[in-house]
Amino acid sequence: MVYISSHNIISSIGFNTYDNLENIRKNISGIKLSEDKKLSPEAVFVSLISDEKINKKFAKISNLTENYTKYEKLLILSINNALKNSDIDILSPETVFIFSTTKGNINLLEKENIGKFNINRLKLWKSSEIISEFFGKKENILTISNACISGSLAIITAQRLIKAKRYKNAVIAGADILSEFTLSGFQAFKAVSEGACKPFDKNRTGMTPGEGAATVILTSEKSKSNKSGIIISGGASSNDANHISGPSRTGEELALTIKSALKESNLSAEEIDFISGHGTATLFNDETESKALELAGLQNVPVSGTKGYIGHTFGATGIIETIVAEEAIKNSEIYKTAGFENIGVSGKINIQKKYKKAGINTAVKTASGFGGCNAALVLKKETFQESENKLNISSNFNILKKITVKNGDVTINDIIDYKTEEPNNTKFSQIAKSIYKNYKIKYPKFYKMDNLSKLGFLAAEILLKNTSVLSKYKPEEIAVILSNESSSLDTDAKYQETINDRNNYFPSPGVFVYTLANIMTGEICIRHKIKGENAVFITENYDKKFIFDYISILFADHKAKVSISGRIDYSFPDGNYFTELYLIECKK
Amino acid sequence: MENLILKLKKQIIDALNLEDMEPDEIETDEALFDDGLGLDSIDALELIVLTEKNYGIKIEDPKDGKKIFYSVKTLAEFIKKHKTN
Repeated sequence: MVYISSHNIISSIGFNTYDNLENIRKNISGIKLSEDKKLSPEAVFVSLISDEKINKKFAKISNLTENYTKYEKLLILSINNALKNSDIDILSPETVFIFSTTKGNINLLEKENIGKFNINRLKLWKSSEIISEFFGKKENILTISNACISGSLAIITAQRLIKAKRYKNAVIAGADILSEFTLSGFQAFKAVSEGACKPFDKNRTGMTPGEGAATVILTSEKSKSNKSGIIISGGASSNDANHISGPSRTGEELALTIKSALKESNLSAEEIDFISGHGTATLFNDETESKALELAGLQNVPVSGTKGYIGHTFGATGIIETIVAEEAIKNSEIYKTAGFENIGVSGKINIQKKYKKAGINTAVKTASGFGGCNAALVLKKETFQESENKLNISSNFNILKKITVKNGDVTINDIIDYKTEEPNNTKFSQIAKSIYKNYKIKYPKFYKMDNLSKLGFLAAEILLKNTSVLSKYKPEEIAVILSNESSSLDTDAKYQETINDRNNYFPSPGVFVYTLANIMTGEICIRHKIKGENAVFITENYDKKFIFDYISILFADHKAKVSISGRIDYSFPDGNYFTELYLIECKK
Repeated sequence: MENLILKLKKQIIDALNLEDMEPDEIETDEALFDDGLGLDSIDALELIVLTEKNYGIKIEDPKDGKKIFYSVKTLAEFIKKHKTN
């Protein structure tokens, strides 16, 4: 069993879970109109946590305030608070730290912040390392950056690693801060709400960006700290294979993801009592989510969304809303969806308008994000419909094919298949074009991709060529599990250039959309109609052993039958690139 | 108008990374989206930026984009009508 042992939420309405829930019960929202010109040229509704408050809280646990960024301080405060109510040994090799974020210390790219911290702090693995080191933790640290499902996916990953007995405990911590970077991008996408966001409402006009951090501690051992006995009983992820910024038209991919998490939990849709929804309040996301919930058979189950209180906190949101689901079960209560008045989605769902007490044994948490990714988690009281699927992991896979792309050369199964004729210092975009032409690929969208996606696209194209996996397996049986070092920083820096000068301020939506590592996953999935498990891990070194182990866990857990996996890295700031992709099949 | 149309075609190719495409391959009257050039929603947002950046015209509601960006011709007519300087 994977028990929830302790947790913390930090948002505009509180620095711990209790305060956040108290404010939600009292219907107090932290969303306010910000006229801070540094954040946005135009006034905008956001949910912020003031530096002053953070520094005051931080001073109580450390006198090294200056050594940490806002993002790092939020995560340190969150983990520190969650650890207070937990008795796990964090330094033990049986405890893993898993971080989730979309952009980490992205504000360090801003002109006025350059030089304040080492440029390495922009690397998501590096900030995770620094935060872990605050607690004396030096090993067994993972970072997931997979758009707005990052937090949910980090919990799902932890649950899988514990279930597979790789670890006994996991500290899952996620955060994102608001900066000009994120805000200008969503404004260019015309996705920011005119007032506080209105999830699932007829008059919704978009999302409200927010800041937040959250921590969940999971453990395989029941103890005093998890006496409530609420477990994570199932989880799954998927891809829409539709569009990198627009969700599925039908919602069937998220519905399948929910069904997969329910199956793992041995629960039927009729047995679910509560849904902690994603509800971003954008026109398309809410519409798709409503269709997915109906398709999954959850049309009558009460749905609550938190984003009308604390905005969309990106890398933290999946963790925050999983905690909300846990608290709903523990306290027998269902929360109001702030901002919702009249139904404005076509899927039949039951949005909760008012706070109420209700007995709850089981809950579902949904999430979706850019790059077409979806995730679903199931929580339940351990005493409800007891049963556990044991994982049988032995060497359960075959490597079908391997591709590398390095220095302009392509190898297939370690044999050079294409040797570049370009001189040494040729730009990657030119090399990518030569490879594209050499393999006679016809896909005009290729030219719109950023360097990282081009790299992933080309490798996947060559990997899947002359193989039968796409016809042999169903789209949802094919996983794409990747890792890299620099996330999307090469493109992040390019996007930052479009907003650096206020007299020449034209945030580019076409560049912004590629400022997430998992857009490369989305491009591969769209091209090949792949709809299975997704994840992007951000690690300093190529963690092949971990990736292969993770895939064997996926296979044993019946979450995939074949996987496209490996390293796709476009390095920042030096522009080096490296891809090694494997096609791996589950043994019968 | 002819000059503006040619300029627009070059700017569209550049802004939307329509590599390997020449201005005369874009039909002035043909639909840019859906069946035409196959542009998508992100391209539409990028065209809003293009119009503001190069011609100083703001399009507040992306829904208006559908008519304005129907073809290069409709965009040229819109710019001609709204350009202040």
